Amino acid sequence: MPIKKPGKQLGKSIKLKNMKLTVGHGRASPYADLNITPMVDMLTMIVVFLLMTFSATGEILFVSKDILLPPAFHATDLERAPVIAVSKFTIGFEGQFTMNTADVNETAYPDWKLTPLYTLLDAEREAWNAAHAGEPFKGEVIIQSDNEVPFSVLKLIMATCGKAKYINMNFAIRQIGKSEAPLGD
Amino acid sequence: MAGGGAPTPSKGGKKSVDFMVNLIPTIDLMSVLISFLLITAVWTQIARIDTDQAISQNTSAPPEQKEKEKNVNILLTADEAVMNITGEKPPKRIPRLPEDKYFKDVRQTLKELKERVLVAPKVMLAAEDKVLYKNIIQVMDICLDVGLTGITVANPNIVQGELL
Repeated sequence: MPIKKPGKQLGKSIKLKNMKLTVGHGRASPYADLNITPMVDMLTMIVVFLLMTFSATGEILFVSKDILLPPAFHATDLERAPVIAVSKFTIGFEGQFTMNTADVNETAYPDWKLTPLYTLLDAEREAWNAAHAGEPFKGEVIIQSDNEVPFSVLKLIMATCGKAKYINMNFAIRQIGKSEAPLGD
Repeated sequence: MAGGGAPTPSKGGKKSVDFMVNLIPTIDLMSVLISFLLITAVWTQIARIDTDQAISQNTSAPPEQKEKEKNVNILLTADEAVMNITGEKPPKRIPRLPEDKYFKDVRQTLKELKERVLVAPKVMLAAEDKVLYKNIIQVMDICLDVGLTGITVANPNIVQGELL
């Protein structure tokens, strides 16, 4: 390709006299024109995008690196409730280590009551009842489990929750778009 | 930068009709907004699927009921999904593989079962021990997509009793 002399620069053609600063008579200005229109456009688009993705509820759940949440399309917004975090290695309650996942099985807990978890759930319920005297206990709990955790573990956790009167289970998921979700349609 | 706010006189002494908008405050505001929104942005959208639970250790047999409710029963195993409406046998069995066909068939079957029950049915969902959490959530998501909203995670023994 032959080398050509550059033509008019972008921005020179705009006839905004007030934006042009000239020094002397006919001499080239030492100041370059800065076309700020694309910059304002870009800033506007970034602001609109960030406002659309803004979540007023904030982060209710702290997602540990060991927990990869399953994706789903249909879901509702999170509400504050006690969180049981289940990874392939550990089970935690409200950010506190409770027990190892490997220890959870029907042989070790034939009554399906995970004692360390039950103790914490019971204490939490007592604290809630003390703080909300006269109000009926909602029994809401969020189970934040890793993708690969088997139902044998979840089953025992859910049974323990039931024994501690937490019967309203909320499964934490990673919300995705309808086109990405395997809904079979 | 873009400066000036007042109309400037033209060469002939007449006031120009052009008016320069001072963009500096706009850019300042945008920069502050972007910084704030970037700091407070939540990049992973975490939500919840609301369910009830009917799991306890001493439920090897379904409780006695005067008139049985017509529920949609789903049992997930490692190889298949088994479904029916309470009292209807044999249940529909959908093999787990190939995955695309599995999701389509699960959806189709759930739609049919929902249409056969006049009152909005409850879903009794259970799984075998080896079934992974993500597979349960996938089926819950399909249930919600076809309009089956009352999901109860049940003891596998109860659901097995209804299906087999």
